[in-house]
Amino acid sequence: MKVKADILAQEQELLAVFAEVRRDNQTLRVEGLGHRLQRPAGEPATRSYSLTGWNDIVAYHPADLVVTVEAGMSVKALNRILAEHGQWIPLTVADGQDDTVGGAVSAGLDGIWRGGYGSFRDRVLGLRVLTPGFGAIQVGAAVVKNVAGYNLSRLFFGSRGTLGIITQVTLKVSPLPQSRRYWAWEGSLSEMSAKANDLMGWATPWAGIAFIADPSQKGTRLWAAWHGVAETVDYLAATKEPGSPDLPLMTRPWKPGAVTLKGAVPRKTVQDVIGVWENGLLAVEWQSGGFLGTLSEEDAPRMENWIRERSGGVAVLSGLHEDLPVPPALMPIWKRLKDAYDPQAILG
Amino acid sequence: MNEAGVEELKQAVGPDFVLTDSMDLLPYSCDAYTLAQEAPAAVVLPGNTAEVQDVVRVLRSHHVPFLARGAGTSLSGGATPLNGTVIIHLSRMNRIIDIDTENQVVVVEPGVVNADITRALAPLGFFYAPDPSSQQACTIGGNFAENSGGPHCLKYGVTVNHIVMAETVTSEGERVVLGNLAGEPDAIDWLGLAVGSEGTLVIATKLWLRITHKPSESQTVLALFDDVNEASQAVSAVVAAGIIPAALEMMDRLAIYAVEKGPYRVGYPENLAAVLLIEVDGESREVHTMATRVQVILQKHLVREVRLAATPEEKNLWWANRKTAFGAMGLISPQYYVQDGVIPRSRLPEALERINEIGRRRDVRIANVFHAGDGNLHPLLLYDEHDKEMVRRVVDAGSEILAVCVELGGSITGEHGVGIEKREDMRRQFTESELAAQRALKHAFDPIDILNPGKLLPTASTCHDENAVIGTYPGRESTGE
Ligand SMILES: Cc1cc2nc3c(=O)[nH]c(=O)nc-3n(C[C@H](O)[C@H](O)[C@H](O)COP(=O)(O)OP(=O)(O)OC[C@H]3O[C@@H](n4cnc5c(N)ncnc54)[C@H](O)[C@@H]3O)c2cc1C
Repeated sequence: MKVKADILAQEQELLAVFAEVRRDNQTLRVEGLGHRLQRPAGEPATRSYSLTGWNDIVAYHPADLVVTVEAGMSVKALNRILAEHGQWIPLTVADGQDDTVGGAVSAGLDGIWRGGYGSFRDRVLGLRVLTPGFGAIQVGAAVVKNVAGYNLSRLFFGSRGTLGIITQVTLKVSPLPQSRRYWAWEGSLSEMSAKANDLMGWATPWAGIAFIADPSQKGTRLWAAWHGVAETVDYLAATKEPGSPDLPLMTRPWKPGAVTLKGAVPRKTVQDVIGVWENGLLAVEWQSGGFLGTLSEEDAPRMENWIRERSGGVAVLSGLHEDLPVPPALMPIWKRLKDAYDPQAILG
Repeated sequence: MNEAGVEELKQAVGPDFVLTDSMDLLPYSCDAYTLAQEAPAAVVLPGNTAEVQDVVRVLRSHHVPFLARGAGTSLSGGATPLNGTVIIHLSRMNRIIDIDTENQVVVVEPGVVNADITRALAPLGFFYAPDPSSQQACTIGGNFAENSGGPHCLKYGVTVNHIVMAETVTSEGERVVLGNLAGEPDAIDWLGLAVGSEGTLVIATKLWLRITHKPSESQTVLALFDDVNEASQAVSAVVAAGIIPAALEMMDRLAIYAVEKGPYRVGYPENLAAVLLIEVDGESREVHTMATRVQVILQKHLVREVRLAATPEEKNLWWANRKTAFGAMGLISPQYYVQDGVIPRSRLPEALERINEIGRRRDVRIANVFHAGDGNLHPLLLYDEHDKEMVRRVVDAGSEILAVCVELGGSITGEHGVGIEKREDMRRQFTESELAAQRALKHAFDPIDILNPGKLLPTASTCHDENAVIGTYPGRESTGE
């Protein structure tokens, strides 16, 4: 892909920041909209650099269902542009926050549409990354299918800027559904689980089926969204339950908790994780096991262990700082990678 | 491989499972990419993960490079041994271990054949989505390594989207589990890096695959065109209209001619320029609405005839006809060379025109059978291996087609991998820094370059590692063209 001259100039500016940070013996933290920051451990001195000014569309060909954007553009802003062409990126995070596209990739975010549209990770076709070790590199490609070389997008997704700064993201986009409908219920956990199972008998796949557990309210809430052709929506509304044309209020913005965890649990464990999640908000998607939840600083490590013991994946999204979770067996590989991509360890 | 090493291998897996006789080794000297061939130093057939670990440790201690092999259907030379490599053939590790419908996962050994998984799942109402045309032969281990695709990957995604966890053996003989049952990495997606790494980072010894509910309904549409350009534009128009079919395949005139000579004759009318095979699946109302909309779009693109599969038998015949298209080339040419490149799907008319022009200019017959919906081209270049001049023209034409794919904003491979075949073509798509960043990944996993060396990356312009076991590989010049 051709890189515009002004983008190259921006990259030079950021590469100069790399040099300054190295000279001043600091580390560099790149920020997007700032909702997903981990509290830094304190030392060494951290310098912040905001990417929110990097917010242009680089390339967009609606007929190809592919878009390349600068990393600082927010998902909502991108979706406003895509909507003009009847398309979108189905990434809505359960807490209602907006994120920059680069931040979402770097933090390994996912959202409530994972069950129906697949994971956000799978939409990332390519990235442009500034690395201290190799300079500006393009990974992946701007086409929906590509196996040329290693899939380095997978190295940067979720690595929180520790190996390089993502400056552009190429994503697979989806057509906006012709029609949508939402349903919501409240009840005990077992009632809601039975309901979720029941929904799978109505039709599949749902755009999303999410449980919301909120300690300030009794019981569990469940909402389901169908995206598709008008014929199915009308059929479900007429023969099952009427539902509503809007997202239910229960997805209102969350108050930030001390620690926010994100990840996924095996499907068999969805009901259990709701049962053991104490004193924090939790949203879990039924079809995929994807979740987002808040916890106290004391409870978060316990839940992380609980999830990993059951073969789930979990990471701190915001709050308490943690080192990038790397399985012990992979530590030597991780160290060699870090040495190659960020030899002076200037990235957090 | 010296005598002592062979003895140690026999101790690790049993004497019957180490092959060293030259006649036994011959079938292993290439995979389905036949332009490079070299016999392995030995072939070892371990029966379980512990044996794979032992074999790796023995070979490492003797500084002998090794690679894993499934069914040997790779089209890029990934399973071809170079410079005294030992092949670890995983055909004995071929059990379906568990089907867990609650977690929607099937647990398999790497030597299981792709199609056997869907066959085992069918009675339970599930299927395994990635369906390479070679699915009756290729193994899940090979699919893991190549990140294989198939016609139905347009809607369902490729292999990387369907493997949630893998037990692997590293180049040092360590057992490492990548991923988890939830299919969610904590941070870095190590499993996603390993999938598609062409057997150069780890050897997969057990895989947890995501299984998918069989859609309640599907409809298959066959569209017959008199003009290949109209067919290509119809492809773009379907997707641009917001319809993501389960599959959207295309064959051109020469391909149609070949498949109609094969065992699965559809009975296409004479003189067709192109055929589109389009499948929509899902909830029944969605399917009916989408299939109708597809047909309306096709009518706007000067289609000669649109057929809707009336019975499952008819649908299966259409698919068998399409999926055996590569093999059918053998009925119209002594040899064929499969290319695999990707372009943005809106550039399809231009890409096909340029491929045609390359064929004309270089005097090479080219048939096109491909995954049109995702812009994944498969030009099939026909040749006779006895005509050395023709082989050279075919190889050059293939490489020129890849240059066109990159120029149009695409990729040099969509599913068949780089292997030996496209190592140097990698330079068309990536800069030296980008290649260095890729090399760093290989180095992190395999610092002494002992696992499937000589694949995927072009030779470094400067020597990266003095300890590297392998330096060169037999390039195109040395393949006897
Ligand atoms: C007629 C025909 C049609 C085809 N159609 C398609 C198609 O539609 N889509 C598509 O994507 N491909 C297709 N292919 C290519 C090929 O079938 C795939 O690449 C397949 O995944 C290879 O599987 P295999 O078991 O034959 O692997 P092999 O050819 O034996 O090996 C391929 C690579 O995988 C590595 N490998 C094998 N097992 C393991 C393991 N357990 N761990 C680590 N590495 C391993 C090998 O080292 C090698 O690098 C086709 C090939 C043919 C001949």
